[in-house]
Amino acid sequence: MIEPVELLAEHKHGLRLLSPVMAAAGTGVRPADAAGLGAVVVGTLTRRPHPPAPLPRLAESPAGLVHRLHVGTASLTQALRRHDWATSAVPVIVSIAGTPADCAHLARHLDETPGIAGIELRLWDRDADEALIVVSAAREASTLPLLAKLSPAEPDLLALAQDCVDAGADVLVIGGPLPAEVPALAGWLSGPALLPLVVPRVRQVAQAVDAPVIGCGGVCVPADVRAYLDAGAQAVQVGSAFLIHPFVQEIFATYNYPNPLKEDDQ
Amino acid sequence: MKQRRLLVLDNQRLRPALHSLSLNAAELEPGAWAPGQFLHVLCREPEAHSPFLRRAMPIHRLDAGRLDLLVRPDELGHAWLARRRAGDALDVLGPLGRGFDLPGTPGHLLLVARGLGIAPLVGLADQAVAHGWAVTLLATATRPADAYPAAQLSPAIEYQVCPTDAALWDCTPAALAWADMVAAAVPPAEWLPLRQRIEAARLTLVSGFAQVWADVPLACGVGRCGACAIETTRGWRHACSDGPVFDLTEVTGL
Repeated sequence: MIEPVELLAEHKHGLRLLSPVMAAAGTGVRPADAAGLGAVVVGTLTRRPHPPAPLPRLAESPAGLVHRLHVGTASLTQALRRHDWATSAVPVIVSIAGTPADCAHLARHLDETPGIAGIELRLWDRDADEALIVVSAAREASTLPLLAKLSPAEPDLLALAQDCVDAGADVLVIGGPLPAEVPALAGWLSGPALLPLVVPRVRQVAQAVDAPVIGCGGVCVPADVRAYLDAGAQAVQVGSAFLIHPFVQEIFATYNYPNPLKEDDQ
Repeated sequence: MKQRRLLVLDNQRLRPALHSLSLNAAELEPGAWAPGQFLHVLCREPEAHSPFLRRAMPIHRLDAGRLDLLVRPDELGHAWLARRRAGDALDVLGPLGRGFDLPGTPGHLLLVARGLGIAPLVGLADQAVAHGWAVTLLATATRPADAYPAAQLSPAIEYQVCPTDAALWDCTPAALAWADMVAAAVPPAEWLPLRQRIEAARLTLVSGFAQVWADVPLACGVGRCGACAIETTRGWRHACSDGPVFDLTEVTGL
């Protein structure tokens, strides 16, 4: 039996995941196809739409792929026109990116949009100073639970994680693709190759910072979820595994993930 | 988006570097596919992590419960696929995508394939012949030993192998003049030259006359990830789910 995870018991809205396994931003999984997931992160949305990157947009690398997929994103207006968030049985978190002013604008609109469980700020491709300004701007614009997604490659990750929490982030997501290059293109590395790199970063942040942590990178099978939960994460985000299995949540559905908070009580 | 396990019935080596892999497709209803659609095939053991992505394999042929894929072992995934033997199981998604539209009134059909682009066109040729079309298939092979074997094709199909791309395009103007429909599986860089050749031979390119099979690298295969987005007159579209077959008048930004 998979148990729900309440990440923010003290928060006005709370953030209750139906299970510890979420769909990460950029997978394109629609809430209607998300049954069995703890939550789905939609987007990343930007204030204005961006055209897709020129070809080639991806190339395989050992145990993963290098890509430029997460840049071509929909605008909030486009997403709102066709969204099915309000009727979703699975909690919907919206990922946003842009300048601090853009993120404040988007956060304000999302605050007034029914059916949204939280806002995730895509900060893994920003420098630390910018990231903090975006967190502050979004915090001022919205009372929704705020998730800050930080790169495990950030040199001073612990300091940035603490600063983001101080600036108003409610949850830390450690993960997202890493900058990488193969002969065909320079872009971002995703896939199972990331797992052993991200898990120790999740452990460091979970031990040092007093905020719920979500791990993201390379999750393909239940044992990978276990690795993140054992490192102190309360949930995981699944990204590239959706490229292989459109309903990859079925792989995780039969697995029992004891609630880590309850384990602590034992 | 249907995920299936299909068993390999047979792996036939057509050429030194060209395999025809037959799968048991008894569970696919005969009318449930169109030539030009593809299977998204996992080309590794499920527990392995490389090569990571599925491979989009055009349905080469489908009849009597057998589905054939044409495999050239020229990269890791396709090489793995070419090593499958009878009784092995493949993890596939599909049939996926939008296939070719064959008009109800038969006429002359011209098929243009570069290299392995012949794979999605043979099923269309079979269907066209069955519906009374006269079919000409122009293909390329840099060495005769690499050419798709004529014995695999219905004798009703006029088949011509050109040694180079330039020779392929030399053959097309005359064929374009008499064709009632063209289907081409050539790289996107060739779409504009194809369009220009059609306009030179026929004055104008009308919608419905020419369809192209978009050979764009795919990732998810189900229209989610955006890896295969191509620009069309209707905006950005996914080659995997809105295509891979597009009308030549519809694709822009080439």
